[in-house]
Order: sequence, then C-alpha cells, then structure tokens
Amino acid sequence: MKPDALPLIHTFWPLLLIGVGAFASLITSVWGSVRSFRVTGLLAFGIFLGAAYGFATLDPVAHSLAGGILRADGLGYFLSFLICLIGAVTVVFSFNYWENLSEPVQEVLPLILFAALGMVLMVLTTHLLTLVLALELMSLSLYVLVGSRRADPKSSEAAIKYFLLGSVAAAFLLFGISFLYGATGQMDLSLMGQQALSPDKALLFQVGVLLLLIGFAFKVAAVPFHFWAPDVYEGSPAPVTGFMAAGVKVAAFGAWLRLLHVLVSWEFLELRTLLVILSLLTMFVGNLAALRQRSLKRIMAYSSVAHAGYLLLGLATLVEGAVFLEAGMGVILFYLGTYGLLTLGVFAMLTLFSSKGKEISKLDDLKGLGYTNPVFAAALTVFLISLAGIPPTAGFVAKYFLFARAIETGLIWPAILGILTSAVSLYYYLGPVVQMYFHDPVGEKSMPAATLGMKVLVSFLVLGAFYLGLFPGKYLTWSNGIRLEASRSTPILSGMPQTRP
Amino acid sequence: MDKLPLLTIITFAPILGMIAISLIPKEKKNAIRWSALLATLPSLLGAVKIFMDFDRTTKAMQFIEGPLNWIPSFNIQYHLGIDGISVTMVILTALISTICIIASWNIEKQLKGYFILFLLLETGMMGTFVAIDFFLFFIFWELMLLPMYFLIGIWGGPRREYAAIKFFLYTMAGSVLILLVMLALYFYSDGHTFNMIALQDQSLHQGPLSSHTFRMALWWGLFIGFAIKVPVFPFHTWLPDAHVEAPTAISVILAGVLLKMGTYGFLRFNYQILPDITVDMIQVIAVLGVINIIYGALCAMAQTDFKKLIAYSSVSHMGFVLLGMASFTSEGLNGAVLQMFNHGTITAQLFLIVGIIYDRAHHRDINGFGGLATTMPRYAVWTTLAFFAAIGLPGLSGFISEVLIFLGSFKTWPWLTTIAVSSVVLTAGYMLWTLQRVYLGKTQEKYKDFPDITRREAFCLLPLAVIVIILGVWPRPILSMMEVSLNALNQSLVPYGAHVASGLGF
Repeated sequence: MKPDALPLIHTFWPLLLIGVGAFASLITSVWGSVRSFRVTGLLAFGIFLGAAYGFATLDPVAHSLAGGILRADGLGYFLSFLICLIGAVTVVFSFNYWENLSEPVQEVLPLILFAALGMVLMVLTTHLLTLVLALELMSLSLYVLVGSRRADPKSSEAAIKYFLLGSVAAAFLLFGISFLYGATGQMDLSLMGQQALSPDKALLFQVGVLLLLIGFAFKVAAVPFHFWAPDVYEGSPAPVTGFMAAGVKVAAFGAWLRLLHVLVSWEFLELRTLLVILSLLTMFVGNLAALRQRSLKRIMAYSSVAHAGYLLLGLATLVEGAVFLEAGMGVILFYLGTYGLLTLGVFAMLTLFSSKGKEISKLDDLKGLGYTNPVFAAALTVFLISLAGIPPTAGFVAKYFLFARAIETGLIWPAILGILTSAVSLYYYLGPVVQMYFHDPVGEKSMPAATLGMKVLVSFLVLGAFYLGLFPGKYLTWSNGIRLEASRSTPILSGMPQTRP
Repeated sequence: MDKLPLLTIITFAPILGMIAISLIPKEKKNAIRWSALLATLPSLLGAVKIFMDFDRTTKAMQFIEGPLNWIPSFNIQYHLGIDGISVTMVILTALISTICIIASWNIEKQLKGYFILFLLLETGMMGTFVAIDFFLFFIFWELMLLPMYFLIGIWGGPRREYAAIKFFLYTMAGSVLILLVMLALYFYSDGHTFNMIALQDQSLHQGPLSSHTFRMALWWGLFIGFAIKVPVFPFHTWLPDAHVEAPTAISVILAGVLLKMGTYGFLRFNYQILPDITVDMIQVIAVLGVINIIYGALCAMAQTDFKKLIAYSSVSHMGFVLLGMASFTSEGLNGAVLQMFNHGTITAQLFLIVGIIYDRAHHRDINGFGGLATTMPRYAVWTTLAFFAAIGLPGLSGFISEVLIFLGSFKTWPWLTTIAVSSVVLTAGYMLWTLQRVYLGKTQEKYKDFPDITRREAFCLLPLAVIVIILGVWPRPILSMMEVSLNALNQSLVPYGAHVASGLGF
C-alpha cells in the first residue's frame, strides 16, 4: 500500500462510494425486471445520501493527494454535497418516471451514478487532465441518458446534437489545456499557481485560457455557445433534463471557480471584462429568447441560459486585478444551490406530468391544471416565480445577494442590466402560470399517481424555496465561510450555525 | 418583549387564517367564508387599539418592534413601527380588508383560493405600511403583487388575463427601480443600513450619495417606482384596465389601499430621505398633480362604463394628494394624507356601489340604466351619499381634505391651484351626470324587479358612510394622529425652502 492511500480513503470515501456504487448498480440492473429497477433505485438513492452525508461531515484538509488528482477543500466538498443531493433527487424522479413503464430502461440509474461520479470528480480535482476525464465521464453518461427515450426520434436527435457539440467543446477544452501546459509546463493547478510566467508566454496563455473558457461556455450553455440547449432540453426525458440542468451547472461552475482562482494571478487577460461581456450576452439572449417559447422545457432551457449569465456575473465579481476575491464565492454557491433546488422543482413537476413515456411540456397542455391538480399547479407556480426572483422566495434572495455583490465590487451597470433582464424574465415564467390558472381545462386530464417519495420530495422543495427565501441569513453566512484554503474551513455540517441569529 | 407585539399581530394574523383555510375542505363554503372574516378581525381590532392608544403628541415611531437581526450579513432587520404618516393607512387597510371579505361573500368560483390569496394580500399591504426596514418594506411590497395578479387574473372579467399581466408588469417595472435605489442607498450610506429612519439622517449620505446628480437619479427611480402605483400621469394606463376587470372587492382594495402606497412611498422615501431633491423637483409633482386632477376628471366624464368612470375619478382624486404634498405647507401635507384616508373610504363605497348594480344587471353601461331610484330607493340613497362625498360636498369628509389641500397649495402655487379648483366643477359634472343617467329618468322595464340593496351590502357600506359623515364634521380624531408627524416633516423641509408651518384651522 502506498503511503498516501490511507488518507486517500479517509478524505475521499464518499467519492469511492459513488464509484463502487455505480459498478454495483450495473450488476443489480442486469436482470432487467421491474424489481431489479427498484432495487437499483434504492441502492442509488442510498449511495447518494450516504455520499452527501460524507461530504458534509468530512474535514477539509486542503492539500492535494495522489499527485494533485484530488484535492480536499471546502469548496470541493460543498459542491460535491450539492451534486449528491441533486443525484438523490434525480433518482426519486426516475422512480416516478420509469417505474410506470412495463419495461423500465435499466441502464438509466447506473448512468446517473456515473454522471454524478464525473461531476464530483470535476469539482474535486485540480489536475487538468483529470478534469477532462471527469468531464468526459459526465458527458458520455449524459449523452446516453439524453437518448434514453428510444422510441422518440426527438430524444435521439437531442442525443446526437448534444454528443456532437459536446465533443467539440471537449476538443476546445483539451486544446486549451495543451496551450496552458505549453505556457506553464504544469498540469496541476495548485503547482501552476506557484509559477511565474514570463511575458513571452503571454500569447500561449491567452489562447489557452480563451479555449478553456469556450469549452466551459459550451457546457453551461453560455451565449454564443448555447444553441444546443433548447433542443437537448426538449428531447431528453424530464428527469434527465433536470439532472443535467442542475448538476452540470454546479460541476462546471465549480471547475470554473477553481480555474479562476489560479488563472487570475497572471494579468495577461482582462478576465473580468471578458466574463462581464459573456455574462451580459448570456443573460440578454437567454431572457429574450425565452419570451417566444411555447414549451415549458424550452423555456427552462433558455432560463438555464439566463441563469448561467447571472452566475457568470457572479464569477466576474471574484476577479479584481490579479486577486481572486475568495470571500465573494459565497453568493455564487448560494445561487448555485438555489438554482439547483428550483430547477429540480420545475422538472419534478414535468416528470409528474409526463406519463407512460409521453412527455408533456407544451404550454397548452398545462391549461386548467390549477383546477384539475391544484396542489401540483401551486407547487409549479412557486418554483417558477421563485426562478423569476419574486420575494419572499429563495430565488429573490439569491439574485439579490448576487446583484448586491456585483454593485459592491463596482460592476454597477452590469448589475442594473441584470436586474432589468430579470424583470423581463417574469413574463415568460408567468406564461405557464397563466395557462394553468387563467384558462379552463381542455379535455380529460389524467395525472399519474405520484409516488410517495415524489410527494415528500416536492413538499421538501417547496418548503426549501420558502425557507431559503425567508431565513437565508444563516445559509449565507455558511456559504460565505466556504473556502479553498483549509485553515479557514470547517466541515459543512459543523460550519452551519445551529442557533438562529 | 414586554408588550404585545401589536404590529406583528395585525400583519401576520391573516397568514394564520390563510393556513387555517387551506385545511378546510373546499365544499364547506360557509366555513371558509367565516374563517376568512375571522382572520381579518385581529387586524381590525388591533387597528382599533392603535387608534385608541396612538400617542398624538410625538412624531417618533410608535409601537416599535425589533430591530431583530434577520439577515445579519447584509444588516437586514425585522423592524416594525408606525408614525403619523402610516398610522391612518394601517387603520384604513384593516377596515377595508374586513369590509372586502364581507363584500366577497357571493364569490362562488374557487372560493378557497380566493380567500387564501386575499388574506396574503392583506399581510402584504399591512406590512408595507408598518415596515421600517427598507428591505422588509420591499418584501411586503412585492408580496402584494402576486395575490393581486391572481385575484384579477382568475376572478376577473373577460379581459382579465391582459389586465392582470399589465398590472403585474407595470408594477414590477416600478419595483425594479425601487430595488435599485434601495441597493444604492445601502451601499453608499455610511454604515450600510436599510433602516428607513437612519437613512433620513443626511450626514450618513456620503460618497456618491452626496453628489447632486446621483441623488437626482435616485429620486427619479423612487418617484417613477411609486408613481406607477399611485398612478401618476402618464403611468396610469394600467389602472382602468385592472379596475374594469377586477372583481368588486379587489377593485375596492386596489383603489382603497394599493394606490395609497404610492403616495405613502413619496412621503416616506422621496420626502424624508432625499428632501433637497424633492424641493428641487417640487414643480414636477405639482404639475403632475394638476394634470392628474384635470385629465382624470375629463377621462371620467367621457366614460360610459360605470366602473371605468370610478377608476378615472380615482386618478383625479389622487391628483389632489400630489398637489397637497407639493405645497410644502402643513395644511397641504395634512390635507394630502387626510385625502389619502378619505379617498380610501369614499372610493371604496363607489366601487361597492358599482358592484351591487353589476351583480344584478351583469353589465355596467351607464346609458343602459335609468330610473333605478324608483326600483331601488334605499340603494339610491347610499349612492347619493357616496357621490356627494366624492364631489366634496361640505359636511362630508372629502370636503375637508380638499379644502386643506387648496388652502396649502394656494400659498405656493396660486395659478395651479386655481386650475385645480376648477376641476371641482368637472367632478360635480361627471358625478351628477352619472347619478342622473343611472338613478333618475325613465325606469327601465327590464330592471323593474331588481331587489333593493341587501342587508349584507348595506353592512359593507355602513361603516364607510359613518366615517365619511363623522370626518366631514369633526376631522380631529384622524387629523390629530397625523398632524405632529406631518408638521415635523414640513419643518424638516424648511431648510430646503418649504413654508414655515402654521395652524390648520381644523
């Protein structure tokens, strides 16, 4: 046994748990019966909760292990914790979505585990090659998941589109990394940060960082690299779309935070300006394009674009000259958590509406839902208005903190523009609400019974949306305390204030 | 806390009722109605207690609760209190809410959802008037939006979807401006605070906040944000649509309480936090006020829809509030706030009256009626009283506030006031003309067997009519509550060029 094997297990057992669990679930799903689907589902759910608990209780040590492949710090643990929760929620969705089918698609659950493994690795690594591998693991699993509604040509089309554009993005990323390696001679970000760079390497560095940015912009659907999003969101099964929207965003922004932390130290690029421009483009295009959509999934796709824009503005607030303002990460992390919660909420509803393999997403299909299914309609309304940023819900405080932070760091005009676009977004978020409440139901609406797990989950998400909106104080203090350096970090659970301030 | 948290109770009691109603099965309609009524009573009783206990000798905030830390990292506090500017609005809100629940008794569609949203709306309105923390104020301000949107959009008339969205987008646009100003005040004030009282201290305004241009931008942000709510010309176009489509009780709330939030915002924020700019811009307020008065009255005169007519009369009457505020005299300011209260009680009656006839005839075309006074004599008496109050007949409350406003504004704006006073003729014109077309003249055959006003309907009008009469002859009880605060507000504007305070004469 190599000397650092023990600490490796000690600090990363939740990661190993997901990995082992992913393979185990491959075995349990081999039988292909409804029963094995249930067993696999329970297994996956347990693994996600266990891993989430693990990440929440582990003590961040903040040094790299296994040659920089893994790094145990507060940021990585927090994001992994989020990803595990997203994974657990997705498993509950899948139960509701696929169990009704006579022949469940067995590979879905293992693939979700593998994708989550990739996401967790992405936020836990500082090594660029591992980053690429993790990203590919996540992406490949997602390509298959997107195409898992085999009977529907739209699903296959989405998978192909996602695969082609995703591969291009990966190529950009790899290319960027090779330039960066050329400039610094390092693959590990933590070592790269200690490097002094001579000005004649500036071009290599600039090209490398730009390519990296483009690669990630593809993944989070930032404008102008967002064209795949609407089709892919529409074609994928609802639970997968939710998982993709929430999970990929957390992983990609996590990786981005890590990259920025190091890359800002050489002032060869106006990273802040670059991010602000990208962010403004993204929020404008996302919000304006969403106005014309008539399908809830496409609205959510553009909404995800728009929120990527707000998050990019958040990233821009972290860069000040050659300094990475670590203290500002809190608002981004809070935003990521909130966005994940609300997006999953919307997709929980879409999962419920879609029965027997038939996807319901058109706004017209929602007509009169407020009368036929008052509880679900009310829940969907809560999630949508919260995404729009109406108090007293979580979406408002998240946006508020983010824009307040932007103003505080001097990005006043971008913040004002952001707030204005956010007001525009209200119009399309209210579209489904109008259909649900202001129109009478057409035809017979049969809603498949929600599983108990789904009901509990939706209640939790709704309560969460209000709770975070009304009492965000301690969670903000908590997310503000999350750091890349260990000396200032504590485990997630113990870092959370127990008493109300 | 040693005392009863009165403001918290009046603000959040409706929420408790909301939760209770959501647990009642929707078939039990009467249980839902009675619970809703019950849920508004704590606020009403609390308002009565406030009316009795309110210290009329101080301008300071009273019934203070908090400050409790709510979001410490942004210095956001749970902090409630009322002074002379807000206390009458709190009383008005409680009163109108209870009346509107009674007026909603005949709602049949989705009864449960209606009352749940209604009670949420009441919490939002109440909170807006009692919040001292700007952030808290904003939360309550926004909290009203959504229930109102649904109440118009689900229970409204044929074009309800359009009206609801228009209302929502207009108000939201205003909210965005207010939010931006709120952020600016927070970041640039010394000590980073949302406390509205602390922000009045001009020595805290540092850095960009001391630059005239920046303050001007902030002032306009606040002004437009609140002007949309009042509504001040040219931001008024949402109002007729919203009123025409909204169900009766919601129109009453809209005109009776929501419009006042705009003018309350002017007094609380523009006047107190940015007094220097307010003095600079006072002509704008005065001119817009007169435009509102004249334009609203002319529009009202041109309407054939009974409800739209009343809606435009609101635009006109809110213009008086603006003119009074723009006078910078204690008479004008007191008249303005009294007018806010009086307009709330009078216009509520007018909308209830329209609702009563709409329930029977299912249309609101003024020219389609006639001779209702013979078929519904008692109803005609109630109407006449309310109409005369709206015209400003001496002896009724509207007269007192209008006279106070004119007394004040004549000192500052003799010409504008002269124009505004002439509108009294216009008001009398459209009101009496309507009275004539609807209630007098030849009796329409098809409306012969209309039942007269019911006991429930009269019960809604009764408290409002009593208040209108009492305040018409004896305005002291209400004036005394606001007087000290408003005179102090006027006094604080003197260094910037306002008139020195003088007695009211009432």
